[in-house]
Amino acid sequence: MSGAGEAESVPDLTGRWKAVAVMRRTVLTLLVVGQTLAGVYGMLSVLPYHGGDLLEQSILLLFALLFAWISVGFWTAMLGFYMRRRGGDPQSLARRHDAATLAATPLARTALVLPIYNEPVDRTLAGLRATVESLRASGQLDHFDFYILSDSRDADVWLSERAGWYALCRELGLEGRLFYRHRPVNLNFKSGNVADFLRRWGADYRYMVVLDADSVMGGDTLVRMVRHMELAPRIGILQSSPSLINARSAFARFQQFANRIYGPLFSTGLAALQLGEAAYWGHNAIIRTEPFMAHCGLRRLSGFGLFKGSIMSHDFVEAAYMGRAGYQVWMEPELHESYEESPPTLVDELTRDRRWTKGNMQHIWLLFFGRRIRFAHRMAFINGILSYLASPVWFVFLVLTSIEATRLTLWPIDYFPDPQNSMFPVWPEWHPHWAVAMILSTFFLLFFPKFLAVADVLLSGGRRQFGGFWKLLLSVFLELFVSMLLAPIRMLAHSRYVLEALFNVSLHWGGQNRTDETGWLQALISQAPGTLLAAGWAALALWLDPMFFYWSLPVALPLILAAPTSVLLSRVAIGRWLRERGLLLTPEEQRLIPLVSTVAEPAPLNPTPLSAFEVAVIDPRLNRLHRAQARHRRTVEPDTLRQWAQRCLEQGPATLNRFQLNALARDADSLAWLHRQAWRATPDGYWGRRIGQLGVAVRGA
Amino acid sequence: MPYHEVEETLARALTYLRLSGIRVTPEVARRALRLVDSALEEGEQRLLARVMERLPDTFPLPEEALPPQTPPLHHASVHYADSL
Repeated sequence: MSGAGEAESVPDLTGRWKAVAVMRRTVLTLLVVGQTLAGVYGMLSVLPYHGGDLLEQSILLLFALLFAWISVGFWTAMLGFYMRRRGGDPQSLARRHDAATLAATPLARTALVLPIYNEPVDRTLAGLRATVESLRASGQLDHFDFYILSDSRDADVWLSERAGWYALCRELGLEGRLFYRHRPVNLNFKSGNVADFLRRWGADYRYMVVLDADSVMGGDTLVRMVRHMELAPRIGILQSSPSLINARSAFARFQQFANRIYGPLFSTGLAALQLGEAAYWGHNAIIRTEPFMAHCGLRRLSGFGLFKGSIMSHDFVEAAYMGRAGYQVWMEPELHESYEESPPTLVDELTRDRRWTKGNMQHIWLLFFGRRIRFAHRMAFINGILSYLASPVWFVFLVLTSIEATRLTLWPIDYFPDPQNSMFPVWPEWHPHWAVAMILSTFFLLFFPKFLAVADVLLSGGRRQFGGFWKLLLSVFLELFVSMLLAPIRMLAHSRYVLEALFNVSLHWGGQNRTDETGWLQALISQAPGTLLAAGWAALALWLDPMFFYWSLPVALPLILAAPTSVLLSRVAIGRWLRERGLLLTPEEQRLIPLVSTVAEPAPLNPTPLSAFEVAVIDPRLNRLHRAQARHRRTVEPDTLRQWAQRCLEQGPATLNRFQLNALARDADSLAWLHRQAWRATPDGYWGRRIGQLGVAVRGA
Repeated sequence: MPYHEVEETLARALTYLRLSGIRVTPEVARRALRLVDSALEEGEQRLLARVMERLPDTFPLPEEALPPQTPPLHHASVHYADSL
């Protein structure tokens, strides 16, 4: 295995990117700092005591943080727009080699790995099937092997995965090329899952492409990625920028539209700033396995609370370690045909964000104690941390401004707010026109990039792909409205998650279950704290000063309406209604792309009413498959297994817990015994009835 | 013996054959009937169990080659840096 100096021995023919990166980041810093200073100056004019006491100084500090944060986004989008209008970034990987050079580059053995954990099996394998078929169409399938790496814990899920793998092998003719590995112990989460693959088979492949459960990638894109890696041996990770597809609910359609229309601008800008020091997003990326194995093993954190134990958000850390070892990490927005899906509902998104918040907050430890990590990758940590930390900062900012408003109304005027300089009284001043100007400039920073993205689409002649000019414009306004409705809800939820993460506690309130659509009761319960808080705040504002009440409405109203927003946006019927009216359309919906359309509504792998465990017991072919793949080592005494099997035979699998079902499903003798006994069971017994149902399904098929 | 038990036994046998990948032709159905008939001649008790026990001998069940679930192991190490 190579050492850290190995990357340095490979000639870097395109080293100019480093100087360009420094120049771009310096300009960005100057712009953000300048803009923030101007914003702070404006805010000083708005505050009644002009920053003359601790309260106003705290408000100013938080405002500066928030203003700088949105300035970074604004200038990233500006840079993205500029790069796209000039035909792409001349420093990007896509501009480095012409098509002929790429086409003449031989491929190397590559493994596509699909780490999964209790995912919807039909959709997951449909995505893999689409990717394989696309690779076959590219004519380069022979260079790729495929691994489904399951960490699933429920027997019904992993038995279903294995049955699906078997069916897919036969359907695609990929016996001996498409593999399934189930890991009964989920050590170190997803990164541990991939590390387990690398320890077993990583040495057989020069590259691995990591997919997510909802990933779909085009064959030509995968081939291009391998060739780019072959042509640039100093690249350790090449990340594509996935587009969202297959949105059905209204919520997912808004996310998909936003991702598709604004995403290219932001990702191009981000890529232009990061260049060879980009982040890795954990999927839809190709990785050079040898240096990854040599340098990217993740140590457990040795701190306290959250900062102790396994690293949860592994991807940013792995990119940082790759950079530390002297390898480059690129994100290339021009790698098309890279797709993933949006969470279908706000509840699902927030459930995911809860995990991501913890993972990103853990990076605080690496930010300060990670050694020899490049500055750009430390900035990527800060970027991730602030993505969530900005929410409590905004929340505290609102609290402090409310205290300021309360003080002005209820407390006597303090003419000497600064005890150090008490010779001259300070008259509180209120300049509404300055406040309006501050609000407008903030809105400009937030929303102008979105209209610039629309301009980019129009200038590129792509308006028809989004339903035409007027529908595109209406869609953008709808998206703006919904994003304003969602922002305070996300802010409050993220604030809670940050608190949970930093104090390493779990502050539960109900209704965070993954469902297809959000129910009213679930939404009312889960959004109740935010709704009550916002209603109380708005009432206080109204009591203090009607003007303050109007100022509070953009934040308070969305929180008060959070439950209906959450429910209505989760509705598939509303998503369909929008689509039928040509709203929130994306190019992938406008033209038939086989890669995308085949995963839209996958056929069920198990069309029967039986569970995967029941099918594994009854179906002779699948029972044989599962027996053949069963473990030879027993972790449970044979007598105990027989007792559980007997209970399963007499009363059905629902009477067993997850551990017992897993033990039976992993034991060849138990599976064989249950199969034999089930087929001899009387027709009116549990298994007799299940066989009857399966028989009806088979005859129907 | 109730007629429906015989009927259910035959249906169970045919379902098993279908699920095993055997196409149920008239010839297969006749052989299955003969199997039930011969089991019935031996008595009415445990008819279903006897038929299911004898099914593999009467109908050699196809055993498709199973694909390898994983390739041969090729052990290698994932290295950890001395510090974070």
